[in-house]
Amino acid sequence: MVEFPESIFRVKILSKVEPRNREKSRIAQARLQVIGRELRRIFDTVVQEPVPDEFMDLLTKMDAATKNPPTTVPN
Amino acid sequence: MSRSPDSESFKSELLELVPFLRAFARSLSGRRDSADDLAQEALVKAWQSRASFIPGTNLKAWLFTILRNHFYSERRRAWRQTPWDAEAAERIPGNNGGQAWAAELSDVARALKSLPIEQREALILIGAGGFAYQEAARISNCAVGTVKSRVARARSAVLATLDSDQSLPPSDRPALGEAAREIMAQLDRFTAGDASVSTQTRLKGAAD
Repeated sequence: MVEFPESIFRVKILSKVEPRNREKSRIAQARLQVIGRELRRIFDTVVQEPVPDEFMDLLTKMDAATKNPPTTVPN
Repeated sequence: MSRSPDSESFKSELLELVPFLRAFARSLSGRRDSADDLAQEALVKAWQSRASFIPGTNLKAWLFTILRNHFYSERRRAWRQTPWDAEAAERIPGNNGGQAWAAELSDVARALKSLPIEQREALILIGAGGFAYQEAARISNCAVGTVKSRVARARSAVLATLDSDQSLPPSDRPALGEAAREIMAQLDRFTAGDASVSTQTRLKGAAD
């Protein structure tokens, strides 16, 4: 089986696979592509969410603390 | 390209990566409630160790490494503190149980949640995080071969979970997403030797 690297969904050269296993391979590959798409959709759904203010506030606070170190140690 | 860690551009690049950090935190922990805490804690750690970031290298990989290290150490800490308490076990990051990470879990999301944590991490980094195997190996602090085998095992496990879902009577099956349902139905017909499908089998992209 020839493998193309760096792909989780490796494409098999089906002519090198026995005929009775080609169907199984084709189905398995198709299913893995569905899974891969769904996985990326799940991940991207969160990426697209509006970022809660806390994150921006956090970075701003930390950045400010760097520039103006407090005289007392913060919690 | 990243500039030195004290500059405004470093801060804004970090901010740009927050959505991805949140997504990684949520999919790794499988929990909606604690994921943002995890992501914020990682952000603090990233800021505190910003001097160790080498400008010009992959900031996203660096940030993800910090998050996964924090995630695993929190996990170890939680296990050490209360190993026998079932309620506490629920709170351990990455365990099953606790709030679902999305309002509605698709079949694949559910299968992902039931994976062993290292396999889930590998699958997310490669399949959704957009990293190459070499980068994922560095993030996970393991060999490239280990990442590949975890990904392969994760794929098999997800397929097996979906298969076991499908073997349930229809009333017991978890709801499938529309697209996945269509594709699975086509594949079922293909397997059953439906002549009308096999001659023009293609994955449904456009509506009929």
